[in-house]
Amino acid sequence: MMKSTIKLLSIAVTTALLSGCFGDDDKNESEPTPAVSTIDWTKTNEWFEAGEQNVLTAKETQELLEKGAAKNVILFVGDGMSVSTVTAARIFAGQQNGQTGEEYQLSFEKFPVAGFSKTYNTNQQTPDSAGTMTAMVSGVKTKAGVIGYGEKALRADCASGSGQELVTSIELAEMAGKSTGVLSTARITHATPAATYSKSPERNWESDNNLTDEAKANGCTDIASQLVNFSYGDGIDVVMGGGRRHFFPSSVIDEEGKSGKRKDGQNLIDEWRAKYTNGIYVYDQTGFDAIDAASVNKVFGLFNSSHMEYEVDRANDIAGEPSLSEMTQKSLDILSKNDKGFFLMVESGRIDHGHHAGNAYRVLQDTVEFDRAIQVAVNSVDLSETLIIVTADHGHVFTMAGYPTRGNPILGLVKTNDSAGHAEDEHVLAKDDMPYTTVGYRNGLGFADYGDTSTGDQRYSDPHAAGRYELSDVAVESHGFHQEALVPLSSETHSGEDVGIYAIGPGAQLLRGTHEQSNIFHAINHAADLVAKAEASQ
Amino acid sequence: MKNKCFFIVITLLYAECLFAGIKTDTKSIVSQRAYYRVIDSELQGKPKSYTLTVWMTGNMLALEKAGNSSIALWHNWQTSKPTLFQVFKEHDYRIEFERIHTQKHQRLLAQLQALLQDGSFVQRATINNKQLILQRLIKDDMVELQINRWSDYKTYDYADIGDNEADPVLAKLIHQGFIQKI
Repeated sequence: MMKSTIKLLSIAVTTALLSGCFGDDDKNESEPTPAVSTIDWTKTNEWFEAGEQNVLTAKETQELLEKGAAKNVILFVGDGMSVSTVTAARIFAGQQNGQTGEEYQLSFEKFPVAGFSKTYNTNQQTPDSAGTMTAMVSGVKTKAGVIGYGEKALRADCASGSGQELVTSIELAEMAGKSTGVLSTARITHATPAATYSKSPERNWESDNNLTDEAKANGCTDIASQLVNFSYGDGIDVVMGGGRRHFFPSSVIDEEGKSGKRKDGQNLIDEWRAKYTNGIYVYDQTGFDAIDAASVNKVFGLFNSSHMEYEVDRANDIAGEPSLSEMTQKSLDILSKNDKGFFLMVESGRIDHGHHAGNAYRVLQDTVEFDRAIQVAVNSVDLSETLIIVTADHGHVFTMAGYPTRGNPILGLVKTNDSAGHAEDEHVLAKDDMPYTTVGYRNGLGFADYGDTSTGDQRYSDPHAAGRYELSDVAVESHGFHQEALVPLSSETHSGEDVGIYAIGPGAQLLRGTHEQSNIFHAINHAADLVAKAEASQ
Repeated sequence: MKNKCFFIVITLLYAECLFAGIKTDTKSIVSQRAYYRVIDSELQGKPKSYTLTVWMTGNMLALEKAGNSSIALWHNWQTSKPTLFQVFKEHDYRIEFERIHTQKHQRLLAQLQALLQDGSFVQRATINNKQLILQRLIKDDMVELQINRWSDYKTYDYADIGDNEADPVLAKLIHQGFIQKI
């Protein structure tokens, strides 16, 4: 019945709007006859045909909503990957492939399900990563800056967290006997990855040197030590990212010449090795490449003292480090050996940092690499038993503006169309007689022109330059260009609007619509039946 | 004006690569602080002077301009990968700039290298048309104590500043601009 109704409606809409054959029951004979196209748009137009095909594909897509239908779950988090970032990255990737860009589809844009996530923290309209990631992996929203505790916990107040501890999807997966992995291009102790395995009322307690006296007195421990001492199941199987400095003493200098942060004298890397005698610790590309996924079940990779490099700068890393897609592939090869399935969280952490620095080039390259990592997952798993979710923790004040012509370089100056709709040869000038870029920032450090020899986060070495600048002779598409910003701040800020959720696999349909961010956990829990399986295994 | 003067100093000392060229053995460094009088002939058309204090230990080097609340401090300054901290004395806060390397900074730091010879400070130097004249050199335990005190300040990574606006001190620094003007 439903199918018949839809079919009839479809025919009616097609007839009325596309063939130009308007019904004439109410027609006033004195009115002129509307122009009628002689083209059969239903058979000759690529947009129409693609749209029709899209409907057919959607009709064929199975809705697997059975509890526990997902053996595996992969949660991809683009830190700070706002909707505008996705749009710009799509165009950027398409243009890198020689296309105009706008029509390009990132890997996750091909997923059958999309929705929105409301990102606010319980105490902030515009959120931070600690509260948002806690919501996604625990199913409960909390305060900004707080990891793994409910909203009654006060930030940086250890005692207030007592009794507020939340259970995470990684903990449940481990209890259920699944393999688990946490990957990030940020420090592995940074808020987003930390929310998967730790409880800390203060996101900055990454190692003991930042713990307050109150924290120590009330039994709070630092995030790095919680990672190594993670006690659920057989421990997290694959951990890879940056943040090595939080795992060894300040008196020690690492392989890349950087000091540790710990003041308690503990070398947590040695402790991890002692705990997992068959595991492999790696710190560089060579070590990473040597990992034999077929024979190894535990991997600890710390590839940088602080955050890993931006994708643009990765080749310049001292010891060499793997890309996010390489880490994703290696992790899947290791985790997929478990018959009970796996849970993997993959964060592209430096999209956020590129935005904070006001450097769209690095943002978009990292987003494209994030896209590659997702494609790796799509290619590597059985989508009939694997739920893949791609989302962001929050947005950024990154905008696309003006009326650039189709195919205008996404990082370029705006060139509009003429009155006939054809592309102009010259860029358009604003009221101040200066050109402007399509992408820009509402706030932040603002303009800088470092050319193609720039280094990551170089912008922090120079003062604010908010407002308008003459860009006619500036290489605005170079990776050292930093877009203009309106409000001068020493760091560009997060934004408060919703972010996208993209999903495929069993349970994906649970994420249609607009959701509280905490609903993501509940979709995962239903699809993989984590709580019941964890309880059954105890 | 304070900001301008201070950032000249910060900029001079920002990058790490300069220090890779220093041959001084870490163990041979005696903790010391040097007070330089800086004569800047470019300030508002007539010469003006101010005092810079350079604090140095085997692995830490700090630069302080009299009257300025912010100090530049390098950890592992004799290695090829030192880490820069901006220390805010009034707030007991530090911001860590782990990897900011630019050619500009390397050039400027190379000029600063001239201040050090055989593990000690030179009497006179000229950097960017500014004359530096050593006024006083003190070698005592105070240097080590003071640098250790600064090292214990609450520290944030520069890349994490934007995620920590809930910290009122940091929020103030963000809004006022923690990066000083050149």
